[in-house]
Amino acid sequence: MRWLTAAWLVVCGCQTTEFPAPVPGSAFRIGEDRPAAKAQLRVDVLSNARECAEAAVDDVSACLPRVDRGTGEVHLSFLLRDPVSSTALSRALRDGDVRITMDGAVQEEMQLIPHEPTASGQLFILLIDGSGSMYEDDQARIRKVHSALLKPSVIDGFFPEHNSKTGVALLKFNDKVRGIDGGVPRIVTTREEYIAAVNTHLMRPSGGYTHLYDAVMYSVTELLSVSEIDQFLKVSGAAPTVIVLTDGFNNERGSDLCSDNAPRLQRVLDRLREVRGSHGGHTRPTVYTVGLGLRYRKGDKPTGLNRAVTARDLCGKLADYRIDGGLEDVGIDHVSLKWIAEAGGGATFVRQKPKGLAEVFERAAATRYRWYEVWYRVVDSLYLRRSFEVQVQVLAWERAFTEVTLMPSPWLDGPGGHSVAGSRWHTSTPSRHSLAVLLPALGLLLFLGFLGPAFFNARRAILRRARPRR
Amino acid sequence: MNIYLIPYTHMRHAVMGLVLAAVGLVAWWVALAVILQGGPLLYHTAGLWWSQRVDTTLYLGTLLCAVCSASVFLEGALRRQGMGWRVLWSGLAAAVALLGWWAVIGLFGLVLPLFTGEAFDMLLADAAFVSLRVRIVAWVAAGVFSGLGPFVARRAQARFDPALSPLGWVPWAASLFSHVGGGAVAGALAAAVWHIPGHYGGAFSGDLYLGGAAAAAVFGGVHGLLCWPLPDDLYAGWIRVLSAERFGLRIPVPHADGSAAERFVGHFPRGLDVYLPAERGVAELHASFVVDDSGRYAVRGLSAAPTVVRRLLERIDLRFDPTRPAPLETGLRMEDRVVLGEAGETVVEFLMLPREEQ
Repeated sequence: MRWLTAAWLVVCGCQTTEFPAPVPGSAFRIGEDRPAAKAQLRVDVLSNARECAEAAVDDVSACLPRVDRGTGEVHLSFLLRDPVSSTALSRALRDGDVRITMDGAVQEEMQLIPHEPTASGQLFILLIDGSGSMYEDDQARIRKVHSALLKPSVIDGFFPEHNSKTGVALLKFNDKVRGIDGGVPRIVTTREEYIAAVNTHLMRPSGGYTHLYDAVMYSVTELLSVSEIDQFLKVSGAAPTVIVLTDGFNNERGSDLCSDNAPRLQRVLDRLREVRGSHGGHTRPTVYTVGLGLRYRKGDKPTGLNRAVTARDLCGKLADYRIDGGLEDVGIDHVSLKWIAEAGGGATFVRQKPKGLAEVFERAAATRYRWYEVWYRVVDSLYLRRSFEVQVQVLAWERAFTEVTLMPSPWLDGPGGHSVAGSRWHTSTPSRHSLAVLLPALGLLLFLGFLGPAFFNARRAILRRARPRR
Repeated sequence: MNIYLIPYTHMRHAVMGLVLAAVGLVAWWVALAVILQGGPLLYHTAGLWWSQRVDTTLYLGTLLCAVCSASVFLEGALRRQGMGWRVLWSGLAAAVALLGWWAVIGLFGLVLPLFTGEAFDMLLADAAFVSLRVRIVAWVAAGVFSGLGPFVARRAQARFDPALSPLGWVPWAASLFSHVGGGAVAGALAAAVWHIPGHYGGAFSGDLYLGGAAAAAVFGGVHGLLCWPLPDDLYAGWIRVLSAERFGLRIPVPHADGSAAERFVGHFPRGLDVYLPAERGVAELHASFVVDDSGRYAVRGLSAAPTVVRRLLERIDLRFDPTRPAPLETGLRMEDRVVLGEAGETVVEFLMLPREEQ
């Protein structure tokens, strides 16, 4: 019997590899995901029950892939991993942060559903520009920061209800980085402490030049080694998120030209990439940059993640312009901020109003989730009539890309999904639904089969063939 | 399937289609269950899974084997063959059909790329590609071999049972044509039904779930309708008394071996096949019912007393005419009534009943 089974398996060309794996409830198969090399993150598509179990997701049914050819809906789930250590990383992704393409076509009708808000800690390091310009015009700029930091939604983001392991380090920087009170950086872990610290110390004037790059470098290196912060990161398993807020340029001397910043920025970026590369998983810092004001020129950072910084790329035609009393008065160095954010795995924002600033803080402090499910609907289900590649691209925070192949059955499908009131997507129908098709159909055929004899006998009875005539 | 439940009416032609449609549906359900449940179960328990190309055999192969073996098996049931023989012949039919079908689609898979371009070759290489253009050959081949398999099995049976032998080349060729042609039509129609709900809009559009089920039912149904309708040799003609005197008395017309015979009806007390009383208007030798070697039935009027065949909108007077050299006769159909006597006091009817009632 064993030999027969083995021979049958050989004849069937059975696969002994894990992939393609069955897509539950459908006649589809799913291949192994193929993440892009050298990405900042690895998108790990959870393709089968084993992967979902290993990822320890709380809702296995939402984790498993699903395809409904009738409605043209495809459902996948994924989590993000560190490309080096493969540690799962929690991130706050929104619909616009993920792009789904199918065979190269961007899917417009999609939805990203986050799962399991992270219970691990987060340390928000607010690195606020304390240079003199922030306090000019009757403290107009620092007032905007003050107003934004005290918005309830921002406080909720820093200290979420479900997570008591978060903390905020409020820092000011000019030529040095200090705690917001002017002392050693310390962490506040309650809303009350946070509000008190912002109210008491933020508006207190300071001055000096803007050593932006040094501050960023410090915040991702030495600061993380400060006893209290190091302890917090270790005890709460927190991920450090640096939010740099400035209203100008990196300006270390009065004679600095814009072009002087190019080699300095390159050093910061190299160091930042090195730090992020060496820290695995949760302790890897993420850097967001926020510019308070207007862009100083129209151009933006050239595309390309690992592009070397040149004076032309950084400053455009303004490379030989002085910063102090020159470019700084025009606007903020949005190009540097974008460069730093890209290398720091975060995002950059340029905002003028307190409301805009609050949104930035909310976004940086947004709840992070362990894994995501993503739904999309193709414009025509005929696209699901051959093998197709689905590309999952993360476009926010850090960049990531993976590709997975789905193969439908060339002959059959499982029962199509059914719509549930209030749900945007169809709910899968159990395969036992096929009995609901089979049994009535068999019943009808049986009925038709008996209809002939029944009519025959009825007719004979009516025509008095079945009993004697009187 | 029981011949007693299939009266000799026009509906009998549809019975095989209905039953094989049901068989097709069950085959679809089994294939679907294997693909949706069996495959994942094998994958999760043993770490094995069949290649995607096997899905073709799982669906069409199951359908093909189920329909053609059921056709032969059910014929055996109608003819009251032993279970062992039924299984043997239906297994032979399924084996012939499956092997032939595999050979043809394998050959087609080898030959087709010779006539296609590079772009289409890429699609052909995709085992998941759903296309009527590509799959129609598998459907029609499944239909043809679902007819050829039973044909081979039936011809093989005929070698052991002379009663099943065809009478000559013409019936043999007609049988081959009905099997192959009917199968091909079944395959082509099923392909259309499989394709249409999945391809065009409507309540059942989009997927191959209901399309697959409907195609299986159509495949079996059309196969049953065209390939092997119930043959007349499963039935025999009977004479049955309808009038009150001796009501319900019936005799078969042919001999027990199915050979030609003539049955006489009258009031002569000895030697006639059916005695009917003289006081009910029946002459001494009133009429006879005949069947020839081709299975055609007729009634002859042998008496000067009235003998009338009645059927819908027809009355045929078979009263004996002494001026004619031979008695009048007319062919008989199911449920024809033969009225005897001046006032029609006695009525007999002609019925086709299962032969095994003899």
